[in-house]
Amino acid sequence: MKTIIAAFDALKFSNSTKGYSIYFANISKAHLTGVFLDDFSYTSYKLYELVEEDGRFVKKLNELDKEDLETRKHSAKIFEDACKKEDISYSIHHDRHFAIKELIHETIYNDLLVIHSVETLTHYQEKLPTNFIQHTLAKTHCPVIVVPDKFKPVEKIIFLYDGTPSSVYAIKMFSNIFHSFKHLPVETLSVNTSNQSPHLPDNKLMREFMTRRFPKASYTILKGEPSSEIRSYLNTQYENLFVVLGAYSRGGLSRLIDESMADVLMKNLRAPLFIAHN
Amino acid sequence: MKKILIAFDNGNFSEGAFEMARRLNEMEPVHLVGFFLPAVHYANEPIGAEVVAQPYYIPLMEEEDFNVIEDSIIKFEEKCSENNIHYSLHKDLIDAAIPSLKIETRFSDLLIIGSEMFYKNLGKEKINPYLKYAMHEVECPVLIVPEKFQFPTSNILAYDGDETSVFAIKQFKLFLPELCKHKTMLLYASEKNAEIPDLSYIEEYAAISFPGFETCEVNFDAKKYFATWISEKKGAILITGSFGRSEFSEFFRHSFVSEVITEHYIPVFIAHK
Repeated sequence: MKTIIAAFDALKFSNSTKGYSIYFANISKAHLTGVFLDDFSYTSYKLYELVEEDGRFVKKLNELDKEDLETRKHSAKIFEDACKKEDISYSIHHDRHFAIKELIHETIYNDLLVIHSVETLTHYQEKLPTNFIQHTLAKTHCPVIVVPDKFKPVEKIIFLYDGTPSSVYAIKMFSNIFHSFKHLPVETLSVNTSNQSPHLPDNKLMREFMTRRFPKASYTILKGEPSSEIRSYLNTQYENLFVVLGAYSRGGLSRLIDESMADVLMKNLRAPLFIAHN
Repeated sequence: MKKILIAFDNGNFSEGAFEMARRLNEMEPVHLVGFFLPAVHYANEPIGAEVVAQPYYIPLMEEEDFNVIEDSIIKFEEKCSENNIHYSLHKDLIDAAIPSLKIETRFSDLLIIGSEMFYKNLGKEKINPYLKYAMHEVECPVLIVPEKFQFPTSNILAYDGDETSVFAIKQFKLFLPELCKHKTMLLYASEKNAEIPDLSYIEEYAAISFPGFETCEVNFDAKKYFATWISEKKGAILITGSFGRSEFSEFFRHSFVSEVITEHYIPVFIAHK
C-alpha cells in the first residue's frame, strides 16, 4: 500500500490539504498520515500579547497555550473525522520539534507529501512561493503535491517535459503512484526556444516511453520563453488541471538566478502541482 | 506497461537475466528491450583502469564479433517470441554504447543484468568497471541476477538508517509491486547492542507497504558475515541502496553487498538517486 502524508499547520488548518489528500488517498488506495507540525516554538500568540497591566504574564501564557492546544486537537479531529467518513486507512503524527526538520524527516519514510502552497508555519502571510514551501521542495525525499486554496477534482493531467532527467523522473513517479488517473486526458507540454528543433527532446525515446504509460497522450510543443509560454497556455485550459513537473533539483543559488518553473506556477496557476526530482 | 531493459555484451547471453525477465512478464506483461553492447578487448585495456573513476571505452568491431552478437540477438528474439514477451532491440555496437545505455535507462523502469556474464572477460574476482558503471550511473533501478537462482518468494530489505536505503525500498515497492506481497524481512545488521535508527518510522512504513513484513535484527559483524548469511537465503531478493556512493568513498569502504554480487548468491535490486 502506498503511503501519503498530509502536512498541517494545526493553528491554521487547511481544508484544501484535507480535501486533496483524502481525494488522492482514495484514488491511489493509499494509507494517509496527517502530520501535524506542532512546532514547540510556534504559537498563535505574539509575545506582546502576554503582557498585562498588572503583570500577570504566566497566567496569560497558560491560558493562551491551553487555547492553542485545543485548536490543535480540534484540527486533528477534523482530519480524523474526514478520514473515517471516506473509509480511508489513516494515522496521525504530532511532530513537536522544528517543523521543517520534522517534515523533511517524515518524507524519508513516505511515498508522497501533500501540502498547501501558502504554508509558512509562522504568524505571517508571505508571497508565493513561501520560504517554508521552498525549503520543503529543495530538501524533500519524496514527491510533493503543492495544492491551491480550493479543492477541485482533477479533470486533466499536464506533463511538463524539457528533456531533463528530472522531468522524466517526475512522470515515472506520477504514473507509478497514480495508476487510476490513466483514464483522464493527458497532454505532454514542451517549449522549444527559437534555435531548437521543433521536436521533443529525445523524441523517439520519449514518445515510446509515453506510449507505454499513457497510450492516448497528446503532445504540444510551444515556441518561446518557457515560463511565459507555459503560464499563458495553462491559463487557457478549461479543465481542472493537475500539472506534473520535475523541479527543485538545482541549488538555491541557481534558482535565484533562474527562477524555478514550480515557483512560476505556484504564483500564477490555481492547480495542484506534482513536483519530483532525482 | 513497464519497460524493462536487459543488457548483453558481445553475445554473452545471460540465461539468468532472461529468466528473470520471463518470470516478471508472467506476473505482469512487460515490454522488454534487448540492449546489445560491444565487446572489450582485454589486452587493450589501459593499465590502472580500475583506479580511475571512469571506465575506458574501447572501440572494437571484428567480423566475427558482429556474428556473435547477431547470434545473441536471434536467440533473444526467439526466446521472446516463444514466451509471448513484447520486445524490441537496441543495438549499439560503437564505443559510446555505455552512455547510450544510461540515456535509455532514463526512459525505462528497470535494467536487468546477468552478474556472471556482463563483461565477464574482465575477470570475476570483483565487480568489473562496466558492471560498476552500470550500477552507479544509470537512471533507473538495476536488478543484478546470477545465472542460477530461485525466483524470489521473499524480500530482504537492507536498512542501515540512511536515507538511501529507504529510497531503494521505496523504488522496489513502486517498480516491482508484484513482489511486495511476499514475506518481507527488514534486515538491520549492526554491531552488538547498537540501536536501529528511526526504528518506529521504518517499521511503520514497511508494515504498511509490505503485507508479509517482519523485522530481523541480526547481531553479527556485517562486514564479515553478511554475505555468508545471505547465501543461505535461497529464494530471496536483496533490496539495497548501495552503489550510490562516490568512487572516493568506495575506495575506503568496501560495500558488503559487493560480495553478494560477485559470489552470485541471490538477485540484488539496487536503486539510488
